Amino acid sequence: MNDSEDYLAPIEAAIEDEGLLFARDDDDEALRITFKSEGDRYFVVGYRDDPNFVMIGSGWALPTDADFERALEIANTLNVRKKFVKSAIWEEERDVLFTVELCVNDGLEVRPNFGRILDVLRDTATEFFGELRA
Amino acid sequence: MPLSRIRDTLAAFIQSEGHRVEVSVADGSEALAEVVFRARGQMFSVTVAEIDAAHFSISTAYEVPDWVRDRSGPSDALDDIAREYPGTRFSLAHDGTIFVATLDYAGDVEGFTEHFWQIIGRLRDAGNTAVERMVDRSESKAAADKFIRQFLRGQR
Repeated sequence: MNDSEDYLAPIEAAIEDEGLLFARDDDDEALRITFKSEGDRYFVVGYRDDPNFVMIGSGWALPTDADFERALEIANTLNVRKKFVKSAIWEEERDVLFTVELCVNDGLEVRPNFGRILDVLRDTATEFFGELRA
Repeated sequence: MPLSRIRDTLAAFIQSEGHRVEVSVADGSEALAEVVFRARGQMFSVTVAEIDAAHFSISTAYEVPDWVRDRSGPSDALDDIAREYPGTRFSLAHDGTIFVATLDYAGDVEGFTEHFWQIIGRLRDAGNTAVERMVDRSESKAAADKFIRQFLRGQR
């Protein structure tokens, strides 16, 4: 892939395949897509200096009364158990981030699996907050 | 509230949640409106009629797996799931190649949008469970069950 190529374009197509709307927010360093599904916000990001790297994710605020140690424990359990998804407590312990990080030769490789990626991101967030509330 | 405003409110809500929306008006009249969108790969249709603008019908269609068609399994499974998911209606269509799951909501559009994704989730659960149940009733599953019973009795 050359530097001028919009290598997230196939992922835009994948988002359209899902019947979703999206917005682009590119700059000199990164290519970014933001979109919502069922009201929840997601992002896709790629970096111009590493066009084989693609990250798809969602970020959520932790409840203000959440036990940080418990949140870390749940995130670690999910990291062990779930395929694809990395769960992390983020930004001064206020947010939890769920990401799928991929190494691809072409964004087209993501397109047929995009629905599965969204499913696993959604399921991981549901499981995380379900465990946190339990 | 006039039907056109209900329709537009609903369409704007679904769009604000990130989903592309198509709105159609049946027969070119303002008597019946349909809002169509996709979620998790599944197409959903919401219809609302002028005559009862506080009644929303949400429908989605599933393919009947081809290896279970032409048997009583699909209709039996749909009867079972309709009992397990009260309020959900199922009907086979297109010569039994698909079934349609429908859930009704009675109330104003604000209440409907407040519970929208729970309603969609319930309908999706009912549909997915119905497909799983049809497959469970397939002859291959029955044959596998028979084999396992024989295996456990030492007959295999």
